[in-house]
Amino acid sequence: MLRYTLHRLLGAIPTLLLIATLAFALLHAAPGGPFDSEKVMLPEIQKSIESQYHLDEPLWRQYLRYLGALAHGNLGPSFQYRSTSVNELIAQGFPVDLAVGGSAMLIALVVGGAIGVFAALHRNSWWEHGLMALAVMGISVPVFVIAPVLILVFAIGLHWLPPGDWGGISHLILPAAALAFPYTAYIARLMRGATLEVLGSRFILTARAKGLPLRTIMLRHALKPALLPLISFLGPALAGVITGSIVVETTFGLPGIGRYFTTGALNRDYTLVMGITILYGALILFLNLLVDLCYAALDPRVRFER
Amino acid sequence: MGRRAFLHLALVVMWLAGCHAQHATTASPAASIRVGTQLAAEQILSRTLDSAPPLLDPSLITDVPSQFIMDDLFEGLTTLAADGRVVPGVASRWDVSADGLTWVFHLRPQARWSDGSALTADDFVYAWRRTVDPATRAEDAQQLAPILYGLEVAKGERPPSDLGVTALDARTLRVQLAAPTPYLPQLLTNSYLQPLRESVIRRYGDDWTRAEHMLSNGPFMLRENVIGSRVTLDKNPYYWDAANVKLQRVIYYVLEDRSTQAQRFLAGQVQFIQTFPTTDLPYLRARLGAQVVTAPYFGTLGIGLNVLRPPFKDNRALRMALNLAVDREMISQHVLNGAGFPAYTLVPPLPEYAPQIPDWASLSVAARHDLAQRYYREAGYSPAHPMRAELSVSSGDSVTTLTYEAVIAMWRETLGAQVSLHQLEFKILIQDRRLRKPDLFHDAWIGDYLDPVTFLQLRQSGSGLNNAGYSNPAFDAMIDLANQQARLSERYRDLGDAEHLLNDDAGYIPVYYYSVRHLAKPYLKGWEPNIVDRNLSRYMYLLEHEGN
Repeated sequence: MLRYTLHRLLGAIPTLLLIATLAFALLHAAPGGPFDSEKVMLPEIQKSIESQYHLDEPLWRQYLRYLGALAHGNLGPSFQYRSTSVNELIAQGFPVDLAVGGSAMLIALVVGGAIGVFAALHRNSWWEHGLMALAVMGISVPVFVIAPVLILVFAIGLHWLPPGDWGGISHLILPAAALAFPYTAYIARLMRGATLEVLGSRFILTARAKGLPLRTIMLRHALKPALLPLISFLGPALAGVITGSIVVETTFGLPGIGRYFTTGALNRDYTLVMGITILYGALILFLNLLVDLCYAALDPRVRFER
Repeated sequence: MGRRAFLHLALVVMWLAGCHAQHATTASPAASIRVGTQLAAEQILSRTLDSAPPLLDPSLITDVPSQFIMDDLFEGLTTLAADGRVVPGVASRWDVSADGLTWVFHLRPQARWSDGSALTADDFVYAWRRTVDPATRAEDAQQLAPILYGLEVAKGERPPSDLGVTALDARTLRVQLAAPTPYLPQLLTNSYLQPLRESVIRRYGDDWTRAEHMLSNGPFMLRENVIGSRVTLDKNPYYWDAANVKLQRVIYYVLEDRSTQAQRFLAGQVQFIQTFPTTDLPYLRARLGAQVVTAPYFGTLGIGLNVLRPPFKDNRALRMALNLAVDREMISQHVLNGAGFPAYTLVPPLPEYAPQIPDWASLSVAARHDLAQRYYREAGYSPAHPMRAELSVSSGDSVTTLTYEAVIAMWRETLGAQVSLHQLEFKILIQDRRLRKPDLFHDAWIGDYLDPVTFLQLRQSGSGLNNAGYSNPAFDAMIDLANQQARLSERYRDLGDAEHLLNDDAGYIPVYYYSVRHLAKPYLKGWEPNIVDRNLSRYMYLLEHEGN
């Protein structure tokens, strides 16, 4: 297993290099530069700023320079926030995304999982239909609708929770809930399907025939195999929930890196966008690896062959 | 007087009432708090910013949110009153030579830095030289062009020590100008002319803007800057007018989404918001009443016409037709919900400057349309043979897009002109404009300082902001003439003549003047909406109140 993990980690390097190369090429292909503005700058000053950031060098040299720094873990200075490095910006913003994304996933797992199992156990009841209808709604309503509604109800209407900003646990609840909404719904549907499938399988039939109580059947026998499809969903979902929180960040005014990503792209902040792209790429690769490892732990049929 | 003419007059009067003469008085507006007024025990103000200040260096900033922070942290020779008027800042008074070229500023002996050390004339000399020194790479370096050798130093043709600024002694600063600049006191409020402490910058380099190192001389000092989230300022006990600063702390929340700013206000988390979308105006008015404040802003949204090639080249009739066919009142009322004011000329109303509203603006809409159609035919077009062109705009803002869609519809209905909308990312739009690719384009401007030239330069030959390729020697000559005038009234007269000429030539199609839009709690006092939309926290205070 250690060998397998090492192998996968080494394999991630060329993938990341490809991501970095593509991002570099696409960013530089976009018209306009980081220091183009509506106002006019003296050409002398513009040239001086561009040479400070090596933008006056040929692209291939800029690319090699970037890769060289990257190899040392240096993501370069941000063009937009001129006195701050991309490393600093990410170090400051990424924990926010991790906290919000992680909490959202936790909520989605607990609530969605419970709803899914409950619906499966009450098959064809009004409960099941009602919960699944809610789940379809949850999947279809976009976050940019859910988030303001949550603020309207819980912050402006009831004054229970803050409408945004970043600080204690209370600041985490609404953004995490907004972000968790579609995932909760998705997990509920996934869990219901998987549980139904497992409940219909022969080994559960055997357990039932032996007269085991439902509780034991569910917890000891059914839950583990029912989790498998969820695990494969969880990898990309966790990456999505951490990287895809731009709308939530904007609506709640959270200091995460998702906002840097969009404003960085619009402002042609090459280094900032590159840094975040590479971080997101690495995160997805890492989570996929984690999913594969979890799979092996849960499913005895999976073995690390290589 | 027609109803419409009366409306215009009323509008102008309203505007002028909102603004005041630039000449200074020393009274601190916060000093006029009435005796017996109950102030809130906790003087902490939460307000909002549209975007994150990229860095807190007065020489280097170019964006509006950073200027707001600088207005609280630093103070120039002059500063702004609550109503936006220019008032003495670090300089308590100044003398101007007869030719308007030499200004001597007398600094307050009480002026100090946030560590209690004395502020001297040298701090200004250092800061100005630093801004204009090409090694500093300040994007605004050329803004120091009015100062003697400012442009030459910025271009690297002369050393920074040649800049026309001298400390005659610790409290006297002499400024020599390249040309008379009657609006100098207004320029002096801008961040790139605020003082800096050399020893701190030498010691910490780029890191001097961090809260633990920064020295500032304004009413507040930096407590914390969480990039992308918030900037917190604490009262500076060494500020010369600290006795009249009531707020102990100011927290600026960074909220790019303007509706989110309004939500924060409704939830009671902030007491003052920088702006909200015009689309939210009816809802907010209904809900908040007098807490919604709108007023004119020193900015114009309009359409530029590329006059270097057909169809607009040498075709005044066509330009006039397009200009006349735009129904500004309709846009102001129905697209902007009243937040935005009909514009008939490039320069927004400015105290003491006679607005150059063209005569046709007083005609009825029907009469204007008749005239427009006549011009259109004169230009050689007809419904059977329509003019075709493309209007390039930025895709960022839905209200702006809606405005241009309305304009295109008006052109189609009144004239039969076929104009298509071309939406571009802002960076691409500015590049395309500079390359003079579009026929028609989004051409909006917010004044850098209170003077008509900040707008008229949009059509000056050789100006980097002239994306239309417009070049009119008579227009240029009038601006040059104005730039030689030492007296404001004469300067304004010449600039007015230049603008009049531009209107006659239909060199620009103004659509509306921007508005400032704030939400403010009724218990927040000491502020007024103003034409430059700079509301210094220095004057604000909170009255005793219940709830949020």
